[in-house]
Amino acid sequence: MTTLRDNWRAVILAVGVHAVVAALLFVGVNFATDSASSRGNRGQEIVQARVIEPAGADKDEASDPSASDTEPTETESEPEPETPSPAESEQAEASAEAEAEEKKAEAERRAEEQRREAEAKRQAEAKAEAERKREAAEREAEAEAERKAKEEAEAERRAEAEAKRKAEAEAERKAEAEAERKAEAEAEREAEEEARKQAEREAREKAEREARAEAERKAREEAERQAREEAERKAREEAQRKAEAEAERKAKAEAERRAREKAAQEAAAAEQRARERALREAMAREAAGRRDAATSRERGAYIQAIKDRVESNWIRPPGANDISCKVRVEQLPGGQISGFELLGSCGGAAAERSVEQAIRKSDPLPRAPSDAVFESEIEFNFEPDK
Amino acid sequence: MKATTPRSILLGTAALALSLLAIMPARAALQVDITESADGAVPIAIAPFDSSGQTLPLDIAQVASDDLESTGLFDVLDRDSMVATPSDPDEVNYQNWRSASVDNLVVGSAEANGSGGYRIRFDLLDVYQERSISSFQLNAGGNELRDAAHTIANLVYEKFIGEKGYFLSRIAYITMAQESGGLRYRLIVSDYDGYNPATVYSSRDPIMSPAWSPDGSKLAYVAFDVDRGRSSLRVQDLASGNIREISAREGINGAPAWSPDGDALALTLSYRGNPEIYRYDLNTNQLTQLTNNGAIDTEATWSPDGQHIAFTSDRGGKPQIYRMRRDGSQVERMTYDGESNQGADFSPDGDKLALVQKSGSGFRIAVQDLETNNIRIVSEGPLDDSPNFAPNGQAIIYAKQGRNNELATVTIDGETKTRLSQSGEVREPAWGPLGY
Repeated sequence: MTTLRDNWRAVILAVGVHAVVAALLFVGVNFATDSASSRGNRGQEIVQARVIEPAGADKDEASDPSASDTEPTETESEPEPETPSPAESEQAEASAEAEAEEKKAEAERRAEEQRREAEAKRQAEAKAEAERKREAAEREAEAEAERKAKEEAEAERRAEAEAKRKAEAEAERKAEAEAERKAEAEAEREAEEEARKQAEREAREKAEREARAEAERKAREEAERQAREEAERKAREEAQRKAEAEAERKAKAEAERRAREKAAQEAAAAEQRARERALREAMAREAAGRRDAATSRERGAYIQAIKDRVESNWIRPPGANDISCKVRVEQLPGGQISGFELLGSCGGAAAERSVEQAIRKSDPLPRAPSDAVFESEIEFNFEPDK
Repeated sequence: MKATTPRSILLGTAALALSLLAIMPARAALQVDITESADGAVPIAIAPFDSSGQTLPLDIAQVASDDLESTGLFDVLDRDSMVATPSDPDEVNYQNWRSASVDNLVVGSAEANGSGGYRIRFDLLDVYQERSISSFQLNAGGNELRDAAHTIANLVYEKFIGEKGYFLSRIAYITMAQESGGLRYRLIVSDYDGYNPATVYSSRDPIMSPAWSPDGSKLAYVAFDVDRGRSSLRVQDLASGNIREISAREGINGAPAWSPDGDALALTLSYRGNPEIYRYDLNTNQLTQLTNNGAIDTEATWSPDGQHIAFTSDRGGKPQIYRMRRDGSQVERMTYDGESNQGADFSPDGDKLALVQKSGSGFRIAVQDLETNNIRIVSEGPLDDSPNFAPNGQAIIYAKQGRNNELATVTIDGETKTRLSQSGEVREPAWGPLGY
């Protein structure tokens, strides 16, 4: 107790320090009230801490939708204008979703602003109240100080002890409260942190899900597009191929048709030619036949005349049997014999002599009735025994 | 003729093939088949042989001409019709002969050869070829001019006929003449044309069936001895006159025929009762009976190959010609034409049979082709007998009987007949071999 009395300055200092701390805390609440929540009634310190962190969480939450907003727009810009209705409805859905979220964020922002305004108002009022209370306290303190100064000697000693005891108890309590508050704040902060992390995780997961879904959708769309394109390409190719094949077939058919027509024409022409030729030949044959018939008759008569003449001049040797004689005779157009040749043996000298004499005696041979039947060479076959 | 070697045949064949190829597209030679010949005889003229002013004892050209003319195969120009009488080829104006339709001309000459004989040469000219196709030269004795003429005829004949001429052959025949003291039979041998007749045997009794030995040196014949009442079959050598009696048996000893080799005779004997044909071996005197039949079998004739004997038999009712092997086996009938056939003679080539065929118009000479059995009547009848082939087969000599008995020859185609005038009655001619 004596130390407290001795150290009144310390008591005053301590009170003063508390006051300063309280003032600082108050100022600190004011500083933090820019984004503090409406829950700061319970304690300035707690309110201050609570207000700041949700704001950061809110800000994080708000930034995510905007991030998710930008991505769909990017994906929206990618599809081509010809993109069919399923993609459009998908897009519309996505944009509606984004719009809704935007509206929601807007509403939240407005609510927040209102809250902030209300808070600022309350803080201003509280500040004014505190000013008033401080001024009253200062006046009371001056009076007190004067009364106290009188009682000081006695009180100072008790006060000092009491103060010391109280200060100690208060410090102890405050340290406990501070520890409790810190633990509480820490727990709350951890919870907040956990919540934030959870939110972040959820947001991330959502984002991932959405990204995955988006990726899947995109992949699906891409696959579909590719499939479509492939199908289209294939269809185009098929169509082209078919067209080409068709063209080719048509060309081929045309070519074939032309070839057929040409062949038919040629065949017809050939047939025509053949018919004409056959006709000509038939006519020629007929003419030749008539000629030949005439010539044949002439030749027959001519040969017969030669034969008659030679036979009438041939005296066969009675003793020569099996006469078989071939004789080549050359004659001039007038029938004069210009050459005689016995071809091989006749079957005896007498036969040979007789044959030659028959020919010689027949010189000149009968004149050919026409040049057509005349032959400069005559072969006589003496075959009386056959 | 040109010799033909296998090589030349080959070359010829090749050349022929080539020429055939060459002429194939062009017009071929006119082909004329000669299947018939003229029926006419060979027109020929034999100009009188020049004898350098000498008078030859014999008209050679005329004798040769008669030879050729007698065959019926030559149309010989009468000497009176000749416009010229060339004796050398260079003197011949062929156009003249052609105008006279003389295809062939013989010109020649005969000159004394200084030794009592003659050197004869001649050419056979083809009037159309205007050249000599044969040139000959021969020598003849002073009394051989007739044979020389026959030789010329033979050469010409062969050139045109294809067979040897028979103008040097001889014939045998029987004559029957009424002489002081009665009938006289003679066996005569003469030239083929009746010239130079010579009596081989003479008798008051009948002589029959003369047959020439193949070599022409002997005659077989049958001589009767009326007084003794029997006949004798004998072989007489013509050069020596020797007679060999073959058979004088009782009954018939007749119809001798020489085997082609001259070693045997076929003959008819009836000493066993019925006339049968026997073979008598002249070397061994062995007698073999060949026929044994109740009918009459006689008039045997040998085929030229000596394997068969044809004969006359009435075993079928009327006389027909049969054939058997030389041993008497395999008898078969050969003739069916006419009422009856008999007196057969084989042709020298064995292809034909000359025979006497009896038909409604009497007995006539016929020639049967043994290959086709076709029969050609070659004589008029009515009583023709004893056909006998000329040695070259181109003619047949036979006897005509009846009012004027005489000998005649006919070509085997029946176209030409020549009478060989003989005094008195002439029977049973037999034509001897070629004589050269």
